[in-house]
Formats: sequence, C-alpha cells, structure tokens
Amino acid sequence: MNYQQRRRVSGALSLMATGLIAVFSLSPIYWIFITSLKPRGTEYLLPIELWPSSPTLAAYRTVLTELGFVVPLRNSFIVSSAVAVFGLLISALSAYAVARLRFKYRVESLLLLQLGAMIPPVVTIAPTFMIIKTMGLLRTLPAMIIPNMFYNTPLSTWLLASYFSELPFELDDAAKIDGYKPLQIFWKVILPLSAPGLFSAGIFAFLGSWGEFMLASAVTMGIPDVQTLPVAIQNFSLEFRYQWTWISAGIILSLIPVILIVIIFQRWVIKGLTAGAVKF
Amino acid sequence: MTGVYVENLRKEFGDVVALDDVTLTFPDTELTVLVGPSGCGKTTLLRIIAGLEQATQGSVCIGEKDVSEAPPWGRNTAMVFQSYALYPHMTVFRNIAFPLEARKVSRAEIRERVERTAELLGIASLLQRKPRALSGGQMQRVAIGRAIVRNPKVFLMDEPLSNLDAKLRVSMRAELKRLQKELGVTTIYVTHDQEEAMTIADQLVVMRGGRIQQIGRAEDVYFHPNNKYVAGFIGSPAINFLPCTYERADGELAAECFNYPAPKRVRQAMAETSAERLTLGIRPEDIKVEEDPSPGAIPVSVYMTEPMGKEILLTLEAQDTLIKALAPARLHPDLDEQLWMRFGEECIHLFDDETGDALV
Repeated sequence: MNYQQRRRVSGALSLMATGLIAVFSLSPIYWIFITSLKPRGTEYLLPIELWPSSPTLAAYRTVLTELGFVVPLRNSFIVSSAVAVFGLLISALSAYAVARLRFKYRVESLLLLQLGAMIPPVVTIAPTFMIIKTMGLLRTLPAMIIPNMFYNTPLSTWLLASYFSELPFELDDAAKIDGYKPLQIFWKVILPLSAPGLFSAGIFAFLGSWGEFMLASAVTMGIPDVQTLPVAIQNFSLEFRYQWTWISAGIILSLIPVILIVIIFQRWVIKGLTAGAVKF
Repeated sequence: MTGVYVENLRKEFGDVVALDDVTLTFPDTELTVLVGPSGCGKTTLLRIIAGLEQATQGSVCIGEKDVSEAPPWGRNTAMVFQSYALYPHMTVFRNIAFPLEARKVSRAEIRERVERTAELLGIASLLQRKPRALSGGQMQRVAIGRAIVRNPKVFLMDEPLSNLDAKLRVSMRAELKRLQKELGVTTIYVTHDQEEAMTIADQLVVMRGGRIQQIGRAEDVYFHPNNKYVAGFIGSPAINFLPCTYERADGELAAECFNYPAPKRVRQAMAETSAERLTLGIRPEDIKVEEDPSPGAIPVSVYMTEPMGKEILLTLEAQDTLIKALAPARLHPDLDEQLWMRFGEECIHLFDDETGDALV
C-alpha cells in the first residue's frame, strides 16, 4: 500500500475505534434516554426496543409538574456552587502555600493531601455522617456542602498548585520588596492572575459534587426540601416499584445543566484536565 | 547616612557555598557594582541584602539598623529585576503606585508622585497601558519608576539592562548613572558585563566563587589588578597571559618566546619572594606594534587580523605563542607579515602562578 492508502486505512480504523468507544460510553445514557420516552410499563418489553414504538413525553410532564423537580434542582445548584466557591478558597490558599511559600516538606504535604483522594468515600461515609450529626447539621444543605468541599480539596489543590507554580516567581519577590506580606500578595497579585486556573478548578468542583449521591442520600434522611437531584430522582417511585420512566426522565433533565456547563466552559475544562500534567 | 554594610556573610545552598565570608561596605550615595561570572555569588549577595534570602551566617546593616532578621517588606529597599517583574494585570500607573499603596499613602499623593516619576522617566504617556503593550525599554523604565517612586534607602539592581538590545543598553546605562547621581541614593548594581561595570561604577567589586577578589574604583581595578583573575576578567579585549620564569642571575623574565629585562620594580618585588612559576600579563592596548625593528623589539608574525573600526585587533605569533595586540587602523598588515612588538615596562603585570596574586 502506498502512503495515501495507508493513511486512509489508519484513519478509518481510528474512526472505528473512536466510534466503538463512543458507543460503549454513551449507550447507558442512550438507554436512559429512550426509557424516558417509553410509556409507563413498557420498559421491560422483550425483544429490547432500540427506539420506543410509541414515544411519549408523559414522563417528563409528570416529573416537572407532579414530582417536584424545581426544589431539588435549586438545592443541587446551591450545593454545587457553594462547594465550588468555598472549596476554591481553601484549595487556593493551600495551593498558594505549596507553590509559592518556602517551608519544609512542602511537596510532601501536597502528596499527603492526595491520600485523601485515594480513600473511597464509602469508607468514610459513616464517620462523616456522625460528624455532621454532632454538628447538628443533619437534614440541611451545609451537610452536603461541607463534606463535598473536602472531597474536592485534593484535586483542586493539585490543579491550583501546578497553575500557581507557573507564574513567575519574581512577581512575589517584587511584591515583597514593594512592601507586601505573603497573604496580601496572594490576594492582590497571584489570585488576579490565576483566573483561568481558578475557573477550571471551580468547574471541576461544581461538576464533581453535582452527581454525588451517597452522602446526600444519607444526610437528607428523606426530607424532600433539602434533597439534591440524585436523591430526589431516586425517590420518583410509587410504593412497590421503581418507576423507571420517571427516573430516566429525571436523569436526562439533570444532565442538561452539566452538558451546558461543559459546552460553554469547555476551554477551561480542558485546561483543568491537562494542568495536572505539569510537574513542579 | 544610609550606606549598606555586610559582615561575614556566608550562604550555603545545601552543599554549595554561594558566599564565603563576605564583608563589604557599600558607601552612602554611591553606585557600587558587583561584577563577576555566573555563579560567583553577586546575585545571592544582592538578594540577601534585599531580604529575599536568609544568610546562613553573618549580618546585614542598612544605615544604622541591623536588618539581618527583618523581612523584605520591612527593609525599605527597592529592586529592579532583570526581567522587570511588572504586574501583568495592572496598568503602568498601578504598577508604579503599588509600593505606595502598601504604605497607605493618600490617593492624591499617590497620583502626584506617580505622575512626577513618570514625567522624570519619560513614560507619562504610557500610564494607562498594561505591561504587555510596552517595549523592553519602556518596561524597564516602568520598573525603575516603581523603584524610585518610594524614595527608598537603597536601590538594588539585578542586571537591569541585560534584556535590552545593545544600543539601548548603552544609552540606558548613561541615564541610570545620571539618575542615580541626581537622586543620591545608595545603589547596589549587579552585572556580569565588565564593560558595563566599569562605565557606571563609583566602586567596583569583583567577585568569584563566592569571594571578593578586589574592591576599588574602576581605574584602580583596571590598572592595578590584585590577582590574575581580576586582570583577566576586567578589560576588553582581554589581557594576554604569558607563562614565564624569573632568571635571578640575569635579572630577566624568561617567557617561551622572548626574554625581557626585568625593570627595577620587578627586581625589587622578586627579591622579596621565592615564587617560581610566574605569569606575565600585558594588555593588548599596551603593546606597540611596529613595522620596523627597534632595540628590544620582539619579532612576530601576523596570525590573524580583526578590524574594529578605529583600531585593529591583531593576533601575533611569536614561536608558537599567540598574543593579541591593539593597533591603530592605519596599520593594516597582511597575514603572516613580519612585524615587531614592544611594550613599556610600566605596563607589565606579573602574577605568581601558584597563588594568582599580583607581584607588581
């Protein structure tokens, strides 16, 4: 085969591979999507329908009007936004210390923080629940905001530390000589210059906490007013059976903000994904 | 009275000794230049005086105050960096105003001082621009403006002109010198460029390997180098070094390519020392190149010529030894042409090969 032919073949193979991976990844979502369009009771029909024979939007109507979608949506927004903002604050300060201040075991402390990310949440959920209970925060939104903030800290701090470490060190030197102490330098010089990094970390924090189910389910304890989307959707059921069409509709609806955010902010999402590749 | 005084400074970075027992006075209102090759410790010394590094041992005094333990934001120094270190997200105005903002100066006074400083440096029209819209020379002026707006006790400059193109460097050099004289602030200036060092220094400090090699006025360091290293570092084109020995019996200096009757001061110096291996130093501009022989002249042939405008740099060969000499341009010899060279006895430098010290 000559060069042109080889390129075309390898291009076709790449496309096939990509297509397979896409099909693999997206098929669950596709399934949920078509399930949300099926009339109630037809979810389990065999042979498996790849497209509903009589699609209907009844499930969506039910979810939006009767089952209460707005309150969980609002709760999820509040929780995820708070996690992004406050989590960023903590991560940024830590990252600044690691990247710009000089102290012994600087790098080791960052790695120690990463240990937190290596522990599966299922291991810590019971102690976390007890802590929330002791703090008297059960059945409130902060019960989800606070732990999620710390679930997110290892990744955020890593991203921000590697971003900060790319800023020229002379800026710190110049500011010190100009008469500023390190915390002031953080606010006035480093933060303003880090908008892209902060954005990426913030988006990751937001998206990361959006779909959190286990802790949310535990601490909301069945109170509809404080449930976030994942928990609320799970409760779209009657007494004895899961209503898959309603649940599917709820899932698809809750995906929309996520997709929108990723599309609008894709530049920063990509930046965040690749920032961790930098050594410092 | 705000000179700077450092005493017994030692700085170690792990196993590396960057500064080895440095004691130095930077006289009040004078421009002292720290010059030396990369790694000699000049920037480290500057940063220790600024407070950006802590000395392993030793003390730093600015004026009467011992500031060895003081953080950089409390020392009232100002620094100009090689890469300018301007704040990219702030306008030129805010960059210059930034040090004043730290001291809670009133808005009105900030405005007045920044504008006055900008006028002085010729950048008043740039006040609303951001650093990325400035040329190298303009950025440098902003950096200088940020340093002088505060009336600090000491100016610290870390190779401020190294990032500028050659012509701009030369013109800014003169401006900086003039500005320093006008403001009368003690200034410590670091550079690796010996020519730059010589032109602007009131006091020159040659450093190498963390130690001071020589301190003095530019002329003193140039005409009376303490050791072989200083003689070789200062001066462009560089000094010629010729290994030689002293024949006590004949009172002659014997180099590979010639024998030179030792002048009186050399004989006197050699009487007091038992140094064996010596190096003769002679600067290219101190060698007289002639087309006709004269008594005491050494025959040479032209190995290479490098015209330099008003002068020509000749590389002369005398029995396998190459010697560089500066001659007036009208003498444009051909390659391998036979010439004669002489040098006056006042121009000879003699160094002990073992210690590197100057003997004469």
